[in-house]
Amino acid sequence: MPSDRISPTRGGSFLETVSLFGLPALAAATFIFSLPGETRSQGEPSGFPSPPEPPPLCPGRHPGAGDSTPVDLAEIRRAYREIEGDVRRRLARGDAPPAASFARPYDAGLPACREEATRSVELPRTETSRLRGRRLCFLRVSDPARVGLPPELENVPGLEILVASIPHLGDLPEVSRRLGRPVALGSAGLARALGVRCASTWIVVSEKGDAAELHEVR
Amino acid sequence: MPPSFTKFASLAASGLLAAVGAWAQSARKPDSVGPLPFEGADSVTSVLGRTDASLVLRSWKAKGILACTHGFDVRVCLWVENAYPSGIFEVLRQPYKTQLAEMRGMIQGLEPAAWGPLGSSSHSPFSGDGTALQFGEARVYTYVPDLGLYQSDVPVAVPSRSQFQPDYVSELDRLGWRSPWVDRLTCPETILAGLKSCGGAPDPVTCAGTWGSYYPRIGGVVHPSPAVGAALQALRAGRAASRPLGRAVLSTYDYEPRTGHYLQMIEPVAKLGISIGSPFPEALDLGAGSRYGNYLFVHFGIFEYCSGCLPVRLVEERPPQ
Repeated sequence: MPSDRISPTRGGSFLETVSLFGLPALAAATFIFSLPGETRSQGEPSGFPSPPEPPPLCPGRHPGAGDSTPVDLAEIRRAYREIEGDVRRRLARGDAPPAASFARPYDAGLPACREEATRSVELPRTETSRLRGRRLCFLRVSDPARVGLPPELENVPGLEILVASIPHLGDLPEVSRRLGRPVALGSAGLARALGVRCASTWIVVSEKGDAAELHEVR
Repeated sequence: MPPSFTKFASLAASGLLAAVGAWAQSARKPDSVGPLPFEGADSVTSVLGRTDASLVLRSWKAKGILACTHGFDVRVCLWVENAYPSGIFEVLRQPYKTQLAEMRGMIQGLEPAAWGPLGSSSHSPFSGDGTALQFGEARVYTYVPDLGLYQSDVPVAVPSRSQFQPDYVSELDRLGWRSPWVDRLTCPETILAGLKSCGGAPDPVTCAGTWGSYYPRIGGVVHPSPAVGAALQALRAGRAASRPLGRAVLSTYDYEPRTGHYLQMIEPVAKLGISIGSPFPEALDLGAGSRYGNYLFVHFGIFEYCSGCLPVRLVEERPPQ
């Protein structure tokens, strides 16, 4: 029964066997032996790089275009010591006592409200949890002796009073005493962020914290 | 003794005790315990005497030669940069107190009759509640002293001289200093700073190195070191004063404290100036714990200058050293 199997006993079979099995094996062996003994990635250079050749010296002359002065280390040392001495003398002498004073006005830049009005604004959703239920009042103080809160605010707990303008900063404790609450300064930047356009304005933030009701008073 | 009298006496005693308790717990001005040891113990002159003036010279370097023209001439100048004292920062755990004798009367004069619910600032890492949260009041003063370097032979960048002036008093900005929502509403960097940690990505714009974040610019800091935490509080106050946005300041502090510039501790221990955000904060921290939580710093901005070509100006932030 004829068979397709390759058998070394059949005629011409040795050459066939060599050509079928030997040639691939020979090619693989050649490939393996052709690999270098040292394994490297493609970008690595072989061996140590030879030092670059130094660039040739320029035979030309390139003088400076302007005046030049040689460095005088002794002079630099003397100047440095002089500076050090000046600083030491100045520190030992001290300056005159500074004159700082709170007898100056503060004005956040909010105009005075011309008429009474009530309006609502939306607040940024990112701050709802921190703002909910807050009550703030941007207060304009023209005379600390006559300062007062609107009747609706007199007994509101947690009310933050922010003074938007006052003739003398030193009058803040007097304002605090008259209102029976702590007071702080308010800024135009915060007022704008909350939708306030004039002072005095008091703000009631909703329980959700996403909206505020603004009451402008003269 | 008649029983009715005993009943009446016990009722009266209970009522008296309840009244005393309610009075003690009410939100009123606490009783004074007298001046604390640090109050008014320093002055601007004594601070100047302990200022690390050698830092001006240590940080001096020539950046190059600049040539410029104003249309009719050519100027050539030495472009230099150096640090220079520009402000005094103060951090205290007690409100309405100050270490500077010049400011004592003024700060005490601001003390209100009633403090309200936000009056306390006594929390510190030693509070024993398991947190490293610390809170402090802060003040920022502009002060560019005359160190006698204006007319020196060596060009030195000296910012325009200005008188001592208070710029920021955190008690007057109590809402912004205590509540992060004010900065979140008005200062965009606060949102950016909230997206990452300064421990992992200490960029020089929002972080004082690994000391912590400049934002939000509030007085509460979670930091294991009281001294470095106080430095961070001082830097936050300096930033609020230099770029107020929604914050209440008395005047703008012109020399924003920036990463890589310098901060020198004066109280409780006078030390050498250190690069803001330095990866080696031990220099600031070691031996610098304050018993009363009072800290005083001198801020050195880094300025550059080239006579006739470049006016004195504050340089940008840079990686801390």
